[in-house]
Amino acid sequence: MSSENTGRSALLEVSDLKMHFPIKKGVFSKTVGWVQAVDGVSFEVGEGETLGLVGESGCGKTTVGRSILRLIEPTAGTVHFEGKDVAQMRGKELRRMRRRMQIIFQDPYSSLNPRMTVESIVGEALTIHGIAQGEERRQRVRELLEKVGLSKRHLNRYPHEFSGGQRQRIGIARAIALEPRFIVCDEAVSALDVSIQAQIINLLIELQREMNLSYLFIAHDLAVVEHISTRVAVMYLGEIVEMASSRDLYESPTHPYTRCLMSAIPVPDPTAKKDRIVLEGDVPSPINPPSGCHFHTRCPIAQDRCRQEAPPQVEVGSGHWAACHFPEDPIS
Amino acid sequence: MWTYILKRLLLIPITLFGVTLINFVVIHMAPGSPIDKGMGSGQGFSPGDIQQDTDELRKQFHLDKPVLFNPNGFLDHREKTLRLVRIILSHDEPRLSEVIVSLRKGESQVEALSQVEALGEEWEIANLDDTARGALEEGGVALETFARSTTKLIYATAIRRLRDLGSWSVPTLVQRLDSDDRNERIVATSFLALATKRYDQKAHEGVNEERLTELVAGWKSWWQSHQYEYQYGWFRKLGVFFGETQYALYLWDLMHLDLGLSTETGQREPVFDRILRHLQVSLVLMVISTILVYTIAIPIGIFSAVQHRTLTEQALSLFLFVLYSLPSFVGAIILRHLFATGHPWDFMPVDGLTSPDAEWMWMNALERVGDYLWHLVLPIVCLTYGGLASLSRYARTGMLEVIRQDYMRTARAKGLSERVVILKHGLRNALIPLITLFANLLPIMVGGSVILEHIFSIQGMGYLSLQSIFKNDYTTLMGVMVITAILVQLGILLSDLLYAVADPRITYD
Amino acid sequence: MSSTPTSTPQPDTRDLEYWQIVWGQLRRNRQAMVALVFILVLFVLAIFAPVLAHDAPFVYDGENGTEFPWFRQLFLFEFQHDHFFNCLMLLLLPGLAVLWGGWRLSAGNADWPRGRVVVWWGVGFLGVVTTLALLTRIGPLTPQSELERSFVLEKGVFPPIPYSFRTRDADFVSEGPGVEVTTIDQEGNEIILVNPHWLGTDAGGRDVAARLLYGARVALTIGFIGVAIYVAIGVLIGACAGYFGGWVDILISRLVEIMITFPSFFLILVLVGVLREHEDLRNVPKIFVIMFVIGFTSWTGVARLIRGEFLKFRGREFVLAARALGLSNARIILRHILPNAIAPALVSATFGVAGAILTESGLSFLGVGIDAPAASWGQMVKVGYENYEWWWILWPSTAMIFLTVTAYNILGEGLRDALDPHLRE
Repeated sequence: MSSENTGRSALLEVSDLKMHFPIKKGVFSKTVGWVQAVDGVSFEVGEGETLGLVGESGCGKTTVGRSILRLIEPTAGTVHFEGKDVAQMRGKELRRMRRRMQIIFQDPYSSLNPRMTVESIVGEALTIHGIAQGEERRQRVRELLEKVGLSKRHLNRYPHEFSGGQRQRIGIARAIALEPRFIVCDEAVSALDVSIQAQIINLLIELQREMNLSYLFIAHDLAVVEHISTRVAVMYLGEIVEMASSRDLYESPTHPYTRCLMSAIPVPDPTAKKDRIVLEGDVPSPINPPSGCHFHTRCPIAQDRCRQEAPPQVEVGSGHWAACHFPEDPIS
Repeated sequence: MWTYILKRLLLIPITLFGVTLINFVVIHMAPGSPIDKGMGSGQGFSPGDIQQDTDELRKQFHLDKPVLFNPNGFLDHREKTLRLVRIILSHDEPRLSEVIVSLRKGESQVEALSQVEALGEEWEIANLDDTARGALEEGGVALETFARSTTKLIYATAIRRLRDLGSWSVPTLVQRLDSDDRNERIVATSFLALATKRYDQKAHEGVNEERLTELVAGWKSWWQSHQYEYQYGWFRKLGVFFGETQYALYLWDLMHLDLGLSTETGQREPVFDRILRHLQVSLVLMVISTILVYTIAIPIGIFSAVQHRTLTEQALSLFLFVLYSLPSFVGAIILRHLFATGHPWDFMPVDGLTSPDAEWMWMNALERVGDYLWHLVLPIVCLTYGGLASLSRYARTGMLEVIRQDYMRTARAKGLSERVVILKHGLRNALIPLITLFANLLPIMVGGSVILEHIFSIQGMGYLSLQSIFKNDYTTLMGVMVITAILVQLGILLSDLLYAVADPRITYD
Repeated sequence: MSSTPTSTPQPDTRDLEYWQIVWGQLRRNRQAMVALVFILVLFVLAIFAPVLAHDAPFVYDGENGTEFPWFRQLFLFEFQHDHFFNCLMLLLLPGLAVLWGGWRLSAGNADWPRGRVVVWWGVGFLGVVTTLALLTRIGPLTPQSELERSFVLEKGVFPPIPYSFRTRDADFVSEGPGVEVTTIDQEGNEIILVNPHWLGTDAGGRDVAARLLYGARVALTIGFIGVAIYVAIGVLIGACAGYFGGWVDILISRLVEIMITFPSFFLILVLVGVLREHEDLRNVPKIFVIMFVIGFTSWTGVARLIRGEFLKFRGREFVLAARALGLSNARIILRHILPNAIAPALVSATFGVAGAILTESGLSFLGVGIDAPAASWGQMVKVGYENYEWWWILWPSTAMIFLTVTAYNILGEGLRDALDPHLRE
């Protein structure tokens, strides 16, 4: 699988990432099957770019985000960050990588340690990496809090005294404390109210401009991703089914799955004609994914070929890739 | 489900392996060998056959082997020689080694000998000379020279220790055949004979230069044809490393359900029989009290939950909490004091499970049953109430939780009587957590019964284990631990299975 | 865009707020508070036992002038754990006063950081105490026999119970309280003595009341140190199993399974029985043997609890965040997960203290634990049990065991309820 070449140097390069969890059964814990959470995912993220990664829950997008940071070890595939293989990093090198690559989590309630003050949460990494200590560290944390829109009065508070949006800001402050180049936003706004979502997304965009950050922005909602992403990748059952620049994808979605998702986005125009495509059935189990095209069980335009043959990634436009045998067919 | 059972059953031997290993290590922390301790009490042995008997015993209890690992196969030549020298010296005493070394160097024999004898006196081994002499005769006069150069006792122990080392010493001894020292050659030939169990007293009698050369040559030719038997490959060495040890041999016996013999002097009873006898007593107590615990605790729990926050319930709760906090052995002492010592009453029996033989003999069958049950009352009460208190508290909490559930309200709304609602819909769900406690009950009872059996003079497992601790009867102790471990493992398995039966949500797949 | 919080300004919440909430919950539980008070009283009694019961007078006017034999003898002839308690006794009140004073002083003064004040006060105080302690070592050591005579002649100021736990009173051997004994004095006259021992004496003529007091020291030492050892081991092992998972977890779980196969009291009994005979440990006080055996065998419960908590927390996002920040495993375990996971272990430890006290008294009762002359409740129960006419030994010691165990159980339950978020309003 290939990806588009935007001309910018790739900061992060993920190729053929696979994450399979064994299912064990029987007296001797024999492996009888595999959960194919991620099954061969490749993409690149350029400097200063934001790649949106969209898919239903359980499609493996969180797993992708976490394997990039080596919070979990992938089964196969490689992740290159700044040209170096992340999986090969040990000790010092790994620590150095941690400074340059960070993550923001979905749940602002469980992503902050309830027993630590905001100052320790945000500042701990500064101490550990020998960046700032004592009064200097406190000053740095104050600046960081102000940067994410919190007040320095919050320094000695505990997480439970904050609202969800504020907590997410603390999480962002923690992530940018080490001045990273790349941040994985793992559903960073999904748990928040819509009004807060916009605030946080704006904050992220602001920070991106200010600090020249790159994001991998994971979400289950295409609408959320639209605003922030340069490019968007759509995942289904552990595979990327379509990837294009943000504008291309929203204007001319190709893969039937993307088209279904698109039709689900509410349009703020009551007069607009709404031809909503409803997906039938549930997401199949990733334990034994359907043969051929993983999407064929729910695809409105599926044909026999889809059931037998896995579709390759096809470049349907400039920098616009889709994995579908019949990308141009209309959905009735 | 069946897979799960099979899996658990397969895990039991692994756990047992660990259990025996830990026990072995724990018990061998004890100082001295159990035989020596048994000898201390000195029953049933005439002083003369102590040595022989000890050798026999050592073999029987595998004490001639190392405890966990047997490195004999991996010793290099130098280490083997060193070990052999130590064995010959039989003590790691540096002074004695010096003496022997100087002797070997051909320094003044008289001086060295007097030194050795002085040492011997220092060690107060003169009184054991009988043994030594007996062993010396057994060993034969061929070793006289060597015996004279050390002391008799040291020589005797040397022979014994040599047997421990067994065939491992053979290659080293063969090397000694070429020694320049005549004594060493004599020692080598006779020790070789001992080590290969070919010792013939006559052959080594009155050795002269000619005969010695003959013997040496004989052994050399023997070595030519036999050396392969004594040169082990790494696989066999590894086998010896783990296999020829006390622990491995114990495991081997255990697989044949042989727990060995009791080391208690004068008894020499198979441990298995002994445990079986005491286990019967304990099991009766445990089964009765387990049944009682469950049959009483569950109604109490239901009652407390239904009558929640009434005066009766709170009084009952308080009483149960007092019982819960009253350690069973303290309770037993109090009960015994109140009912069996005449302070103020004296109508309950406390010693053993039957009346004294004099009365027992004249009872008919019915009276005997009655007598037995009467003796069971106090121990059962003590064994029961602790578990009862904690279990009924669990039952109460479980029931309270269940009563608040929606399906209970639905059942009531359907118009079912309160009785049906509680017993049919509530009980089953409230019972499930109690089943897991079954697994905990067994070890608690076994542990607690040590003191209870001591207080009521009941000859159960607890009594047996306490006795074997006091009498240093380590094989029995090992056996008790192993049997207890098996019982506990089965208890855990049983409670897991019951859990699956009671709770349809659990499938173990 | 910057959203300032609307919540009212709150006081400094630097203190561990979580524990304040728990304490607030616990304070509402009347039974638990009674139990806590009982435990604290027991602690005070144990710490100040020599003030209440000792065979040396505080002040004594002897041939060499005024002496202070009590201070002089405080660190003589006693067992090791007594030294600890005696030090605690000397340091506790002044220490608390100093800490409190320093705290108060710095409270209103912004220029005085609290930490520095406390440290300076502490250093000065320690200096004073050391000097005092050295002073108590100076001067002649009045022979015990003379001191005992001084008690009869009322020449010194004695503690309320003028006997130590090991003082033998030949006039009253195993006599109950209030018993009158007829003896012959030095001039050959028959005199009647009323038993001066409040709770009577045991077979060695030792004062039961004094033994009960000093027995509390043994019970609390074994309870706390034994439990501290096994909580430490359990936390370490459980944390490793829960955090690292995989092979470490399998191995540790297997080990735990093996350990729970032994009934715990049984295992402790065997170990103590074997170890107390060991040559290397012959001179080690039995209290240490028991303490360490309890510590090294009872960790399985805590380990399982902590493992479960760690399993729960290790997937939490704040732990992942800590890993992503490049923190070391040790730091994540100790600073991020442990504070969140320790509560159940603390509840279990409270019950554990009761269990350890019980185990010790059980062992001493069976005769493999602490032997006379060292004072242990279990050993006293054994004496009372073997001679059931001696109710004055049996009942107080049984009562002490029962009350202490009950108090710890109630406190443990209270703590469990206070920590349970479901019960919190």
